[in-house]
Amino acid sequence: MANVFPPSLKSLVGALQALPGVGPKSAQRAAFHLLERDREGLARLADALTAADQKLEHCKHCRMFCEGDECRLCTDPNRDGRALVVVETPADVAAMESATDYRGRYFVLGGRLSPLDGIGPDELGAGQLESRLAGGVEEVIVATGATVEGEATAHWIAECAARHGVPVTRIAYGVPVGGELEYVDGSTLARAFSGRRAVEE
Amino acid sequence: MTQLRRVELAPAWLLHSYPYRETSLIVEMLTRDYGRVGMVARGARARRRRGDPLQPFTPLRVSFRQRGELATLAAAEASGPGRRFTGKTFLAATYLNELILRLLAREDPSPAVYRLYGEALAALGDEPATVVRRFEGRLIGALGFALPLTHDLGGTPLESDRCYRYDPDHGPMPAFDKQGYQGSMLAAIAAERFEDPAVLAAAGQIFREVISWHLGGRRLKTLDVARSYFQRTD
Repeated sequence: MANVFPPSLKSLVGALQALPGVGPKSAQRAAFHLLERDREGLARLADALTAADQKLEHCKHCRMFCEGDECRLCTDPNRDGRALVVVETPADVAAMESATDYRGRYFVLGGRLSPLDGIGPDELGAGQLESRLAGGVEEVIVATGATVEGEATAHWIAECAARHGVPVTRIAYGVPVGGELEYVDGSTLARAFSGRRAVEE
Repeated sequence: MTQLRRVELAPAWLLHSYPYRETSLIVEMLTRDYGRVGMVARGARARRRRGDPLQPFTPLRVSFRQRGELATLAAAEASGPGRRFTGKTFLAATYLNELILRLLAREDPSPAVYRLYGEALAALGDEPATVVRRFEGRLIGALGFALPLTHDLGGTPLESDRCYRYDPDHGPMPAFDKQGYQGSMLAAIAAERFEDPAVLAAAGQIFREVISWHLGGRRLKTLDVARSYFQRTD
């Protein structure tokens, strides 16, 4: 980086490279944009970063990001505490919320079983999940990905739920909306076929 | 290896993958004819959003270009249905992957390891221990590491009612304190008579020591995860 830059500019360009996919060039471009054309944006960014660092924690019940130790989804009295959807990431919670009419609670694993990466039940919050299952949950809906690890994770959650006598369902797989059978890959089609259901009237 | 190599539709298994840059993956492939090859799969994480044949435990055909150590994956397709492992079978299958990742060097073609792995995956069922032991023993042999079970260091055939200590480097050594394994036990391990739980357990101990010795004592992550998994479920 050019030595003509003052230290605070150098450190801004350096810090911006913490973002995924941002290298020295894009970091420098972003820094100049903020400084020259959007000073207000720069101030907002500074405030937001500080606030995020200081306030955001993981919810003690569901491991979703939240301010304080409980999240809004877990404390909202209008949500059904008897249903629990288990997902891999906070982004999956957002996807479920915007796409479905589900109004129960969530549990965020923060990943999936991946023994080769050293990720097992302990890393996925097994203890917290167990205490959720012991605390009045009547249905668990497993919404992990349709990958080999996602399947193994689903099975593990099903075992945990079974120990607590809680019934488990798994989200369905199948032909994507707007998809034609001819172009659907073989294993998806096989799963869609084995998971077929009665035609809704 | 500075020459460009182009390979079309090579039979392969995906052993492991991890994120690389924004949207790509590094995939560790066990190919039949080129050994273990690390490849960059460009844009593979973006493809995962809509389903991807690039999954472990699925027989694949991969096309890649290679100049230098990392190859570039050009295409991958499934050549058959994948196995869907769960619970302890899943843990066992990932353990097989880690064994190959750690014990087989890149670019060391070994059709024998490829075949052993395929056979083991096909045989894995609800009680994976026997299949895992057989794979461990045969893998150690296929990699060219000696696993003497019939003769001691001096070349003397083992006596079935004598006791032997097992040294991971040197093999069986006569024990004078009635500790270790009986000669008949080692013979049973050599013959893969794993139906007997005592033989299965002894084989587990010996193979684990030999593997650990070859790994220089480094721990296997899949074993650590399996241990914590069973602590929670048993």
